[in-house]
Amino acid sequence: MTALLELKQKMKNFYGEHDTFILPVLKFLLAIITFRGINASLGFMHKLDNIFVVLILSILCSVLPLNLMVILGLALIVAHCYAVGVEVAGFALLLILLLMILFLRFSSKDNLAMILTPVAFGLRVPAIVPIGCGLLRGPASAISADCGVIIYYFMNLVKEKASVLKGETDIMQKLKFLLDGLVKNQNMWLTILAFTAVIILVYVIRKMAVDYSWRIAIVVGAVIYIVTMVAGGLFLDVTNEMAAVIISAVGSCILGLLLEFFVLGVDYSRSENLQFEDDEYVYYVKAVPKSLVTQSKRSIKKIQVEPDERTERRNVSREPDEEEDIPLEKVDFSEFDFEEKLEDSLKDL
Amino acid sequence: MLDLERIRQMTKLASYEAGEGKTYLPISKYYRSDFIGLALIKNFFLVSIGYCMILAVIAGYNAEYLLNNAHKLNVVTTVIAVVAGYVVLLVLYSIVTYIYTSVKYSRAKKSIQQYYIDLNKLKKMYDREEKRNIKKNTVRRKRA
Repeated sequence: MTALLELKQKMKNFYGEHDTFILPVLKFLLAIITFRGINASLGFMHKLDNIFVVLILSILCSVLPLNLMVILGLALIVAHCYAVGVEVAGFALLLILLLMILFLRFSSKDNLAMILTPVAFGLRVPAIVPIGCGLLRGPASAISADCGVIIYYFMNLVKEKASVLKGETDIMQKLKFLLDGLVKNQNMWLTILAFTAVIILVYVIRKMAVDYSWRIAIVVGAVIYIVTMVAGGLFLDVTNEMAAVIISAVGSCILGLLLEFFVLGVDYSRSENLQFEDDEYVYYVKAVPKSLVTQSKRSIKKIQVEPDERTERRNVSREPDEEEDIPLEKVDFSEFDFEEKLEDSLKDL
Repeated sequence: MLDLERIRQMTKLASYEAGEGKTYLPISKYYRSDFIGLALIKNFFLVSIGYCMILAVIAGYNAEYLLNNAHKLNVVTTVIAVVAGYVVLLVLYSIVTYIYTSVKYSRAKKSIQQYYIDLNKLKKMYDREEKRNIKKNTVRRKRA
């Protein structure tokens, strides 16, 4: 644990020193994962399904605000839909505009959740989005996360039914097909329900003044996700792989605990309950200290000696050697007359 | 000569302007009623556009039925339903917008208070320096 805390401290220090470079790099990586994910999922427009295009877009996103990544991602989706058919692109644009007008304008700060949701679905850990939103943001982030779910299922629909949508069917029929595929997709509604429930519950539990509230919130969030998805599978016309749902929830739980360690990191064993009062109130305060470790600083001292000094030192160091070379007379202390010797020495004086 | 206290104050203000202030400073220029009124007007247009889109999608979805049964449709009932839907949606979104903008405005006001206190401190520092300079100049003139 101490090693982990030291690592956290080191990472914090490193980020503090180099945040000017780290933030754009992280944004670049997120953008590249997102755009690659969109291309891998749809990829109908071959000109855009190109690593250079993705790199250019990611570089742009690394220096510009996060909301631009969302806009570029949505534009990429519309462009791929255009390769399937004009009506599909029109529907995608209409859907995105509706989401923006009706929902996303109230949660502009949480729009990252919308782009992270399809990414999390791609990585097979969708539950991390509602858990993360509940831990780091508020219930309003459910709007963005749910919009992300809609976008993900729309992309899935276009990917699965591309051959039908490319066929020479009536525009109205295509529109009907798309709308049916989205509105009558019970799996999507179930996921939206699970996401909303998890975000609200995680947020409420996280805010409670109990020990280990974050950990309880993460575990409860994962359990609620599993229960909702499994119950939905039983009562609705939804085919959910139970093992996949459980693995996803467990994976999200681990990621959530990792998030808790890096974001919160408190030591409940050293918490203190304080009580004091002023003229108007009596205060019951619980103070929980943060887990911190003092980093051991290793200082390396280099002692360099000037060349002349070194030779001098060598000479000095040799002297005792020379002295050692002189054979010493062995004195027999029993026959040695100290008084006589002392008198002799006094005579010289 | 560099005034360290003033530099500290300016850094504090600049860091606020670059961070939280980016969102809250433009809001502080409005009166509460103006800010909420403007948001409601914007909301009206956005809801109108959104509702038209929803109507277009519903009409497109039911195009076949509408074409086949156009003569059987009760126009008055349909129009009333459409208008009622629009009014309900507009009222609902207006309430949400009102609450959202009110909260946003009060947050901005609270956040900006410390900024103005710091700004006043900086102004006083400048005033003090100006007075000092005026005094110095008058003394020099007298000597001259």
